[in-house]
Amino acid sequence: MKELTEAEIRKMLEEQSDVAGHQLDSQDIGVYEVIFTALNEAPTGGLPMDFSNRVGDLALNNALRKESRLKLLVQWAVAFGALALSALILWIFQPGFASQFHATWYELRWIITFSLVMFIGVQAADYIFLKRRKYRGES
Amino acid sequence: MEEDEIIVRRILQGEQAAFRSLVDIHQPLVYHMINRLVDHEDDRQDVCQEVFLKVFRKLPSFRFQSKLSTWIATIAYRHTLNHLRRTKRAATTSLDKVSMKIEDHRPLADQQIDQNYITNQVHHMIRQLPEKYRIVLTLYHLEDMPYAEIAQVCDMPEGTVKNYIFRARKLLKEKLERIYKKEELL
Repeated sequence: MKELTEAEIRKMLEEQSDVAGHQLDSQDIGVYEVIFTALNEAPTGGLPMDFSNRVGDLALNNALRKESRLKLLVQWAVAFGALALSALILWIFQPGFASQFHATWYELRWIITFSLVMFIGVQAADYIFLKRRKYRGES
Repeated sequence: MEEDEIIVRRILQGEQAAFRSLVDIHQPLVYHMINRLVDHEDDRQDVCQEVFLKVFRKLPSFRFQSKLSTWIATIAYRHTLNHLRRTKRAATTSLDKVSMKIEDHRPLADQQIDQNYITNQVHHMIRQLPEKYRIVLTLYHLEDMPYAEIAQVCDMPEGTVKNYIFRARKLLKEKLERIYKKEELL
């Protein structure tokens, strides 16, 4: 806690004298001294001793999770890309088989769409709830 | 500034111990700010944690245009305001019509006025001030931050910072004088 002299308090108050625009007597200074003492005193309570370790671990885990999510995204992109490429190759070299293949997929379009939407929905919900929990260290 | 640069570079290189020391160095600043703004004790630690996680995430975008402490304080202030808005616990007091509704807990006549008791009362009065007053007082008095840096943290002109500090102290003085006679405080 900083100990302030009367001169220091007066100086600090005069810094704002352009805003204040009034004179202070020694009794006013005395009241300000009490206020300054309280203001310069840190509030009670604090963070736990292992706070920095906990935050450090959490930050690292979050970074790793983000990295693994990115990896998963890349894997999915590669898988879809490969599927599209193989469909294209099939269409070029085996047009008959490709149209039959396309007809089968077309028949199943609603099931495929539903599965995809559900998958993305579950992933998103999991991410949202995980994000809420992780700050409280429950993840 | 050089120390800031070293620690930031170490963190960006993946050194976890460097981030821990950043938290150790700046946790009093963040905690003091949050302590003055968040009334619920249970929330303070969570908000502190969220602030440092945000600092970690945003660190690659830190361009050393200000001191690291100023940048962290800015994040802490904005995040805490968002937290207060989210939890709808923000002080809605108008800055023009500030009136502190503090009960006058004056010690009984036969009790000697104790300095600690008054200090606690002033701390309680600070909690009743509008959040902008609280934050400028904290940064100025507890963190010894210059006006220019406080202005940067709170995104307001330096003149406004000075004005808020002055008005906040004046409010505290008026309230204190309503409870005690000036002579009792000397």
